[in-house]
Amino acid sequence: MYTQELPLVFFTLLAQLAVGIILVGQWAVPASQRALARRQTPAALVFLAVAALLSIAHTGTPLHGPFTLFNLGSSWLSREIFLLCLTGLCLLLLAFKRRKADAAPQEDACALAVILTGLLLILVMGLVYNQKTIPGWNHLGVFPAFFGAALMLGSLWHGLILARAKAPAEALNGPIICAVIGLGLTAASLPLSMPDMALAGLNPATLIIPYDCLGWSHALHALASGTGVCLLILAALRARPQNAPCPCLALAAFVLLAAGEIFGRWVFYLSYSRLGM
Amino acid sequence: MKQPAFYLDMTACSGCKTCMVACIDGNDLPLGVMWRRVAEYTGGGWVKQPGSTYSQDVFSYYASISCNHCADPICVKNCPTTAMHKNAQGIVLVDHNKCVGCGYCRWSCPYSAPQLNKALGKMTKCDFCAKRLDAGLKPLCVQACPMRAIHFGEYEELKQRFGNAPHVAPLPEEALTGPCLVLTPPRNARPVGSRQGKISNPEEI
Repeated sequence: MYTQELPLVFFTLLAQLAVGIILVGQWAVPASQRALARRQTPAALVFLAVAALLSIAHTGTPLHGPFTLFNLGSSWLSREIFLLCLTGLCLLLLAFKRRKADAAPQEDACALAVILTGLLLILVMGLVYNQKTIPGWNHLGVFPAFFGAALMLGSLWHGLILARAKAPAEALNGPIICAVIGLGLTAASLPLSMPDMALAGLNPATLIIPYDCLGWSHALHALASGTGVCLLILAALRARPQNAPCPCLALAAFVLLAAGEIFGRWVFYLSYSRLGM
Repeated sequence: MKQPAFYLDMTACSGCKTCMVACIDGNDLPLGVMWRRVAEYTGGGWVKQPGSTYSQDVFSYYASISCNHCADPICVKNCPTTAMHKNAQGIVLVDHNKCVGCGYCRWSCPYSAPQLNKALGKMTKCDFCAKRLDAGLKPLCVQACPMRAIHFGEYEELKQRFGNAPHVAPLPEEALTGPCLVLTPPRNARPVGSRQGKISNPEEI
């Protein structure tokens, strides 16, 4: 099994989950459940911290990590690391402001800073992989896939938390809308993710996954993630508007989505191939 | 020397891989790290001729490639630490005091030139055998080639001496990175991007 890039699979997904939690919690969870959403800030911080540790673990000489900020002028990877640090700092400040039950001054501005830097981080994450020499990654599908993952993971996380807290099903409306938008973005990314067969086939030396398998792998990813989102919708529909959705269904939805996204991201790294030798 | 470069005579290269072995041995490279690789590009088959007869157009040739110390090196552009740099002599080098070993240069280089040395935790690559050059010697691959298919010299001088033939498959478009590599293509060479052949020894490169 090709496991070389697994730290990066979890790095990208955990960072996107952290951004998704803050984004959905700030804008899609109803005001009546805002206290619950605010309490997810430390969780988002932990996810981002674990993501950062995984990205460091992926390197050969982690102690040289600070040097990765030296090439902001031309390296997208350098910019990604800078934005990861910036998002982390904003998130840390937000977690500090939200440590008490009452809303702190400038809390919304701080949340907005986390969301903006987080969205920029996800965009730059996509640009890291958009390289003209790597046909498997040099396509527009990378961006909707990354933004879609952030929306779906953040939404289903809040879906799970709301269901566990026995919040009424109508509180899930916002997260469900976000999850469906995320699913739409993921669906749009899949046909774009099929790299140019002619270009990819040029260099079998760098092919990790046979290109015949790529379509099926994407379909499996979409099926798992789509079923996860549908399960959350089902949980909300089964409960009457004022009743709480079944937490087991919400948990199953999140687990299925997470499995789908992990598999999808792994396939993304497997679709690496290089022009030339 | 303004810009050092390799010249590869693909009409002479027999694919013996002595250059690879000399590079691995001389630089004491660990298993799996190859600063020079020899790709075997093959293709062709039966072609129907008028009168219901068949002829074959099978071809096979070799591309012995190391770092081309490109004019616009994508590894230097992408390196987050600036460890990958092009020095005043035109040689692309890795500064091990800065390299974090992320492998981003390896991902993006279309010639697979930078390679991770797991024991060091850093990227490594061809430096034209800098120590040998300082001692007035040729790079190991040039010295070892039994067919005298690899030459080393100043890029512009090599172009004047051997011509400026366009690169051929399986090499990538020259416009991508501006490789400083002069070559003489073999008779049956296919153009860059051709789908008529494939690298038939992927496990060796």
